[in-house]
Amino acid sequence: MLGCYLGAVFWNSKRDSNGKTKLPRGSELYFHVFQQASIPTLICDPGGAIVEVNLAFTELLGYTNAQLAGKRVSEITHSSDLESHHGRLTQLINGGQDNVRAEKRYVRQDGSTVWGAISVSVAKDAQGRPVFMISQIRDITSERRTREKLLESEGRMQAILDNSEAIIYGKDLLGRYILVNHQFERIFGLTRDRVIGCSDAEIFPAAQAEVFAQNDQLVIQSARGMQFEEEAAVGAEIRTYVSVKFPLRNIRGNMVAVCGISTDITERKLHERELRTLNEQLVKTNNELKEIQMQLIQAEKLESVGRLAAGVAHEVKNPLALLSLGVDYLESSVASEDPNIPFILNDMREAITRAEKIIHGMVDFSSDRQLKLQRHDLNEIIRGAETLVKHELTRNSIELTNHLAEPLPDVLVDRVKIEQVLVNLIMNSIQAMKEQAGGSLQIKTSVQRLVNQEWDAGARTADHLRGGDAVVVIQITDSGPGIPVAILPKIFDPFFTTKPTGEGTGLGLSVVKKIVDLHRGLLTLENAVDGGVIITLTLRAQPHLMPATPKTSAIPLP
Amino acid sequence: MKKILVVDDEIGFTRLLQMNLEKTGNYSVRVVNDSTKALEAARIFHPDLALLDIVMPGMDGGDLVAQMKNDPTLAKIPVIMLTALVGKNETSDDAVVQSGSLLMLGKPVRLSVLIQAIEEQLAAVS
Repeated sequence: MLGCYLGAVFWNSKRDSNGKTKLPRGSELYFHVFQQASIPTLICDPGGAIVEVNLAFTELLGYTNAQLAGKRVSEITHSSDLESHHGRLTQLINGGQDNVRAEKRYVRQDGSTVWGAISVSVAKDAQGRPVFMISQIRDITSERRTREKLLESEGRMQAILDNSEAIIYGKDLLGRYILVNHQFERIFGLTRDRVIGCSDAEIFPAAQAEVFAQNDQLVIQSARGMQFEEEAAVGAEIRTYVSVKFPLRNIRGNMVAVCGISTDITERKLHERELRTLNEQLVKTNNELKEIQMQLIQAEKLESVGRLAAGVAHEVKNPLALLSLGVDYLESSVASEDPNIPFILNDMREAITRAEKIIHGMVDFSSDRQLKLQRHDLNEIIRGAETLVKHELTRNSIELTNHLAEPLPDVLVDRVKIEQVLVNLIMNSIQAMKEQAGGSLQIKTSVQRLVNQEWDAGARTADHLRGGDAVVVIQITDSGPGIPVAILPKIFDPFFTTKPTGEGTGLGLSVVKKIVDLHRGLLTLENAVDGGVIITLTLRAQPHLMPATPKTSAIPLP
Repeated sequence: MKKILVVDDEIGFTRLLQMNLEKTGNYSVRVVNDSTKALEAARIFHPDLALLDIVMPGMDGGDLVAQMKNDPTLAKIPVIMLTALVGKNETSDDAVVQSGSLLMLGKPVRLSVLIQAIEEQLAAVS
């Protein structure tokens, strides 16, 4: 049957006697149209045997008409598509449909494969029986290839996304999920199908979802990638993520989605916090060390000053002794013509005394730290000190009152040194009250328990006073003008003095403080509310001694 | 007139001490600046009292006192120690201090204080 049409292929060259093209009629015309149509077309019988193909078809598959003669459609169909091919035939013959569309592969003459989008129609006779079937084929090979490549690349992309440790997701501009990776599903325990199309509000707690949406909006508004720290509930736990969010654009450059990559930084944050705490502790420790170092340097300085002072004192005192005797000699021999001479000699005498005092102060300040500690009753030491200053008190019309608690527990002190402390403190008070006409001095002792003791970086020794310790407290209160607030912090500094140059060496209170420090005691000076100064000296109270028990001896007395 | 032996290496000081004491008209003073020659001088001079410095090159005041105590002709001489040293714990020899008829005075010393001390020491042995 194929052969009878072959001549017609060349029909278009026929011309009439006038040279005009002779139009074919009826089925000849249709056959011509069929043959010349640009759409590859195949006609087969209901059994699948090829009846006719057009030129475009032979061009598409590379077969000649002769090669196709007597072949069945299945013979030029790709083996993988045979099943669906037979299915379609059955469907068209037995089913109610007159037309089906599908995609299938043909095998070309050279063995290669052609993908075709086919539209198959069935032609029926008057009784409705199928007579033949017409397949029109569109070559979609390159389309398919592109699509396959795309699928392949998408598959690769998805594989990359799914294998990422980070949570990766995309949302459209309305905030609905369009993609999530495997990690997203795993972490939040949700399937891809459940998430796609949902907004954050449908997945996460409201507060978190709101933050996510706000951050997405920031990216949309700024149209650039941004980084956020976000918190999300994972099971019962709140975990922290750093989220890099960026706009996704289509081929025309329009923003179509916001994509995000979130990395869990909960542990890192935790470590950072620990690190920060450690660092703070380190800084604190370092500061303490610096402070202690400063104290060590200070102590070291005092040590060397001490060594120097004794030597210097000896060397200075000899010339002073000479000067002193010189003044003595002149005093008794030059009481003569010039009336200024006695005054000059007096000034010289005072200058010698002053120099001597400075040396004594210096040596006291830096004298060796060995204390001769013994148990003493502080009240006794106070009475001793008072006898030494009695004359000064009387001379300046200062009334002394004692409020001494009896009995006091013993204190472990160097009696001479503590007496020196008390004399110094009392003399300071007398000095302060000298300006005014008289005054009063009150000395009070008591036994207390130490409270609110500030921790001292430089004194972490076992014998340092601490809160709760039983202590003996001496309070010396004067009725002087008090200490100006501005100089309070400096009163214990060596060489700090309020007296005019020449009247004080400035070593008094610093020596006092040093002696008290050596006793591990506390010394404070403060202004009383109603004027005057309150000096408080605190020393550790010694536990009561066990009552003496008579000693028994194994050796009888002779 | 009482005889006083002064042993001190400070030449200026001893000169003024001698001038001051002799000016009172009550004392005859012999100065020895080299302490190693002090014992010899004492044996010749037979002082009623000795004024000794402590820190001296050659022989220090403490040693000198000890040697005087060992010499029967010098042992009874009262001694006043004059020192520029600071602090009681630094006086060299506790045994010397405890041996009696010995007085410590710190430099610089007022002439009046020194004379009083001399008179007291002299009165104690007479």
